[in-house]
Amino acid sequence: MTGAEIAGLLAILSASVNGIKTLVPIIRDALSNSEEISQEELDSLRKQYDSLRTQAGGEFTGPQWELSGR
Amino acid sequence: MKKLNSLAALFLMISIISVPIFTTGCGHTPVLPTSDPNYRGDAILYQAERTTVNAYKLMDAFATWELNFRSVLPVEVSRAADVMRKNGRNWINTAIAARDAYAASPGDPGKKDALNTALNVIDVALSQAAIYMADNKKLAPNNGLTPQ
Repeated sequence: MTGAEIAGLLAILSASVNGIKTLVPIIRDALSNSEEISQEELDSLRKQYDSLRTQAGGEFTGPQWELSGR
Repeated sequence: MKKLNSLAALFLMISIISVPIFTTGCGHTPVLPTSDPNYRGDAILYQAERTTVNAYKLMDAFATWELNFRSVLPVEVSRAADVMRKNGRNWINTAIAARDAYAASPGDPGKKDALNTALNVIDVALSQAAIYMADNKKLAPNNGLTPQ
């Protein structure tokens, strides 16, 4: 095996290792069974939920909520 | 093709509504900050609220779509929309009450079941709405399927 061939193999090996290093976190994330919810998301949902709770305590308003009468 | 559209719409609607509440065992389970006083790290509370909020948005979208295209839609679609208009608020309030009951006794399996049942009722109604929207896509473009 020539020096150039060895250098070529080393380059391939190095690329493979780097490729694996890149792929591992991606695969790990894909397989992960959890999704972290930020405090901002919680606050936003809570705001929408409270608004809906208030709205549902009265009537849903707007022409789209009026019966069609068909 | 019509059947395919129906299935696609049904899948979309069910994904939006059901996935959050039913994925605790097999999909992405939300991890909440335990410091939040409202949810106290309980993903079921979070999912129930998210499902309820999304359900309202979809009901509103369906009702708006039916109103906008009433003149060209079959009567049965308007009737289905009216069922939602008559009962939607009650369905939402039932889900809210079931969520509150679960929050008060998270260890009680009956409360958790009641919460799932309340959300299932909404799910069934919205699934039917999705089918109507898909079946009548040519008469009435269902841009309203995705809530704004």
